[in-house]
Amino acid sequence: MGIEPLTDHCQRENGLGSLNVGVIGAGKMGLLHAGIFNSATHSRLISIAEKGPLVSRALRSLLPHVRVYNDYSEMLDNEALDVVVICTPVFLHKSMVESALERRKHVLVEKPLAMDALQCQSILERIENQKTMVAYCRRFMPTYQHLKRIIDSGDLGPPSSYMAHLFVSQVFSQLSGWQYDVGRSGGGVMMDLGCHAIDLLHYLFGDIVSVNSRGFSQYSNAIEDFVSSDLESSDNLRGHLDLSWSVKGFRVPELKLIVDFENGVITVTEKYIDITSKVDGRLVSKGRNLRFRQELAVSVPINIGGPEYTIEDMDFLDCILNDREPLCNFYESSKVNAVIDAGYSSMSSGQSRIVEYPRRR
Amino acid sequence: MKTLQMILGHNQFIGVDHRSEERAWDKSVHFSNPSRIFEVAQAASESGYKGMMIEPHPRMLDFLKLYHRHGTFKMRFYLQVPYIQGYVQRMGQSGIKGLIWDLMIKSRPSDLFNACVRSGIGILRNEYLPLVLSGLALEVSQFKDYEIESVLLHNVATDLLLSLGLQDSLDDFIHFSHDILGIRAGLVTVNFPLLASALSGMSSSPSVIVTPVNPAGFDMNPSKDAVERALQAYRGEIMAMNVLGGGAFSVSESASYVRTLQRVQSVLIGASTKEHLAECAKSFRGEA
Repeated sequence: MGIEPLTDHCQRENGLGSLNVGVIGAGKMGLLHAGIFNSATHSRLISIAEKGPLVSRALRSLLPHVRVYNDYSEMLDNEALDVVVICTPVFLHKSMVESALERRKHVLVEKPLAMDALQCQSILERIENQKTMVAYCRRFMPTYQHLKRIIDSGDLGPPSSYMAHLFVSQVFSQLSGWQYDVGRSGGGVMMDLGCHAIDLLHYLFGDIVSVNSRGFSQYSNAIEDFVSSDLESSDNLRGHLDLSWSVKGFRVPELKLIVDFENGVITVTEKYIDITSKVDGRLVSKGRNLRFRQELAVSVPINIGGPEYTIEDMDFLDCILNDREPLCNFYESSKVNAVIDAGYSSMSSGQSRIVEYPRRR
Repeated sequence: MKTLQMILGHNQFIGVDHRSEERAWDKSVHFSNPSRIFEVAQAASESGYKGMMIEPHPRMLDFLKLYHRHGTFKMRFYLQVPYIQGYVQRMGQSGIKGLIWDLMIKSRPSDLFNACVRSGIGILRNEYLPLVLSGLALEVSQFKDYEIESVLLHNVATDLLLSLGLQDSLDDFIHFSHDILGIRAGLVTVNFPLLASALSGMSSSPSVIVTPVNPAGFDMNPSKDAVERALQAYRGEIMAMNVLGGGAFSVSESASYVRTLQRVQSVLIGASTKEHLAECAKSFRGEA
C-alpha cells in the first residue's frame, strides 16, 4: 500500500519559464482553476475577467497582484497571456473560446465545449497549433484510469457490453438559472451531466456511431430530467446509459459503469473499482479485486476540492510546455456534443440516429 | 508513549461516505433520526471520545438539541464552516440569492443586523473580507447555545485561500473568530506543508490543524514524506483525519502508523457502531 506523489513533469522535462494564465468567470470552478494555476511551478495567475460587479470588486480588493477585468475582451487585448481558462456558462463559450483562439492563446474550457456540434465545428476551424482542452475531470480520476488500463491491457479480453448510469439528487422542482433554460444551457440533464458520461465512454471504448435515446421531464419545463440511451461504438460494442438529476440518494454525482468482458466483469464509480476475473492477468488476479480510490489516488502539489482538477491542469501545462496533444482536446471533446445532438434528435424522432462528428481541421 | 485523544467524526451522520454512494444513502437514511446520532455520540463518549466534529447541517442542529436536553455525557464540539456541500447544492438549485436568503432566515435578527452592519461598512471601505466573515458568523450563530471548542475552516476554503496567496485572510479568520465570535479558530487542510509554511508569516496561530494522516498517504499532499517532515517540525496541535480512509485501510495498520507521529495529538474517527468506536479507541491508544 502506498501512494506515489505526482511528478512535476514540467519541471523535469524542460527549463521554460512560467506561463501567464488568465481566467474568465470567477465562479466555483473559475476560482478553483485560478488557485491551481497560481500555485503550479510553471504557471502564474495574472488576470481574471468577471462580469459580476460585487465579485469583481471583491477580487480586486483581495488579489492586488492579479488584474481584474469586467470585460473578457479587454483582458485578452491587454494582457500577455499564454493560457486562457474559460469557466462560464456554456452559452458564452463559443464567442469566448473563439476570441481566445484568434489571439493564439492556449485554451482550457469547462465542460461542455459548446451548445452543439455546429458551434464546435466553428471553434475547430479557428485552431492553429494552440493546445486546447475541455475539463472533463473524470478522465483524471484514478478508478476510471485503472479501468482504462485494464481494458488496454487486454487482461479480461475485449469488453462485450456495458451498463452505465450518472445520477445526482439536484432537481425536484422547477428551478431557475441558466442550467434550466434550454436557450442558454442547450438542454437538460443530457447536456449538463450526460456530457461527462459520454466523454468517459469515448475515453474507454472509442468512437460512438449511433444513439437511441428516450427522455422525459418530471420537474423541469422544456428540458429533460431523465434520459435513457442505447449506444453503439465503432467496434460494435453496445451499451446502455441512464442519466438523471432527479434521483434521490445521490448527494454527489455518481457515474457507475458495469462492463462485461469475455473473462470477467468490472463495476466502477468515482470511489471504487470492483473487478471479478476468471483469469490471472497483468493487472488483475483471478477472483475478486476490490480497490478504493484511497488506494489508487496520487498525491498532488496542491489539492483544492479534488486531486483530479490539479492533475488535469498540470497535464494541460505539460502538453503546452512539452508540445504534447491533450487527451481531451477540442476535437475529441466535440464528439461529445455530436453524440448529444444525435441523442436529442433521437428523442424527438423516436428513432435511432447516426452520430456525425465534426470535421477535424 | 503518548495517549491520542479520540474525536468522533460526523460525515457518516450527514450522508457522506468515502467508499460508495450506496453506503452513503444507507447511512443518511439511518441517521435521519437524530436520536440515532445521539446514541452513537453516547457510545463514543463511553469509549473515551472527548470531542465531536459538527457542521451547520440541519441534522446536526437536531442532534444538538437532543444532546442539550438529554445528554448525560460531555463532548467538546468542533464546528466546521462553511457548509460547503450544502452551499454548492443550494447554489445549483437557486443561485447565490437563494443561498443568501437561506442563511438570513436561519439567523437571529440581532446576528443578522450585526452581519449587515459589518458587511456594509466593509463594502463602503472597499473591503470584502468582512462580508465573507459575516456570512461565517451567521452560520456559527446557529450554534450559540452550545459549547464550541473550536470553529474550523473547511479545507476547501483554507486550501483555496492558500493557493491564491491569501494567507492574510486566514489570519483575519483566526482573529475574527477569537475577537468577535469568542471562539478559538482552527484550520482544516489537505496541503499541510503549504499551510505550515504560510503560518510562519502570520500574526496568529490556529488552535488546531486538522489534516489527513494515514499509512497509504491518501490526501497527504504534496507527498506523504513532505507531510511527515512538516508534521515533525510543527509545534502546534494536530488532529489527524482520513486515518481509516473511510474504511479502506485497516484500523490496526492505521493506528500503528499514526502512533509513530509524535506531533499528532488527536484522531478523528467516523465510526457508526459501538463496537467499531471501541475498537478504534483501543487501537489508537495502543491498548489493543
